[in-house]
Amino acid sequence: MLRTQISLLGIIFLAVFIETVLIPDVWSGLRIDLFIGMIIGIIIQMSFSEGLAVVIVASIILQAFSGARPGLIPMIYLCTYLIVYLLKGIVYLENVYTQLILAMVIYILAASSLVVSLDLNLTRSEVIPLATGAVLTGLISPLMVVLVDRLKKAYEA
Amino acid sequence: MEHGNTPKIILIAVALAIVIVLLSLGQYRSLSFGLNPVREGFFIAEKVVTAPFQFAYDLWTDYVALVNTRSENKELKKNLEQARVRCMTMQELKSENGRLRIMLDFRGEHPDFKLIPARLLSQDITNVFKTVVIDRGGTSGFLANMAVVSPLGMLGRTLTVSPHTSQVLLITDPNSAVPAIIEETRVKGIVKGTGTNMLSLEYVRTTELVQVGSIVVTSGLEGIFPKGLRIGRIAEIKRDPHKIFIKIMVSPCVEMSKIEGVFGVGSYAADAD
Repeated sequence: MLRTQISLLGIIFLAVFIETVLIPDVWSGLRIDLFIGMIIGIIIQMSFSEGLAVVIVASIILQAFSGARPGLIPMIYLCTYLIVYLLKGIVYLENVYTQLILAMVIYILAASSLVVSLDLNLTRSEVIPLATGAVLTGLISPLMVVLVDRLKKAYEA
Repeated sequence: MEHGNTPKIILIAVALAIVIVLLSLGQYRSLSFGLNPVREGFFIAEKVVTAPFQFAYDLWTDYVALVNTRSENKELKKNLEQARVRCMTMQELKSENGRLRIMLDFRGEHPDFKLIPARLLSQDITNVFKTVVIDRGGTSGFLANMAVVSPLGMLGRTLTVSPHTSQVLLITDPNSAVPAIIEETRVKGIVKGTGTNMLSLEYVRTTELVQVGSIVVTSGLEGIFPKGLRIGRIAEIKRDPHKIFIKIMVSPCVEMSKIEGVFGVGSYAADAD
């Protein structure tokens, strides 16, 4: 399990590179959250405590690449982890469409809570990349779930 | 006998002379019915004689000699691709040269500042906060709360500095506040980030004279930002007589999404201390 956790943290660095360098190069306003899908995958594949350790360390890594107040990014992802974990007993997380919609909803909730708490007045040109980011995050999340699944199976084999 | 042949010879000579004269006068076209078959015959004979040689030549040039054409074609295609890539690289070098020239000019215009060049490494992981990471840190002379500028104007200040990277809080971030002054009227205020592509100039009284298009520069009051660095232009003014302060929106000089080369602004005086 430790190998899976270390590999996931390694993948986080790649995800950070994609999120902060490659995607902004294509469209400066666009951000696609790859970690939400990974969290869903972690919840499906790992136990609560094992997944929690990965989420804490990964969100601290992500904090280093944001101007948000220290602790805000880990708080957002820990809340995401807890909410999705609670939903695990209610909704069927293995379903691709559930993963897609859930990731989109989490992205929109996180972004809008930040916008409201910071009292930002976003113009239309700034809302479009946010909405696009939400849709693309939803689309990429099932792939991230598959990635976690493959990784775990590869180490178990 | 000799006398009998003389008129015949004379007649033949005259006839030949007439033929020559006619030919020289351009009348030979009337004789072409006789010459054309000769030429056609020569053409056919020439074709018959040269055809085997031509066949052998074509066979050599079109087939035998083309054995290496496939590999040659591959090589040429490869060369073409290389040339295209080289051309693109040249274009990039050209634009980079332009940028560096602007940076160099900027450096020359501010000899009193110690300007440390850096390049953009990554942008903020969220779309709400406006920070960037640059590729220079403590080992290059960057310090926390150091002003970061581009040749076009003010960018922000460093938040955290590691040995080889620095996180820069852009002036458009909602947590950013820069003491500023309107260049023409010397009216002071604070430029705050709005989290969008616009800035807000705050704490300017409604009684003050403010015009759209005026340039806003740093006032140097806080001590972080050197005085006189361009921040932006006033884009919008909203006056409300019931309020103490005017709502002023400022368009930044630098397009934050297109930042590449930046400078950290140190001071020689601080080094001496």
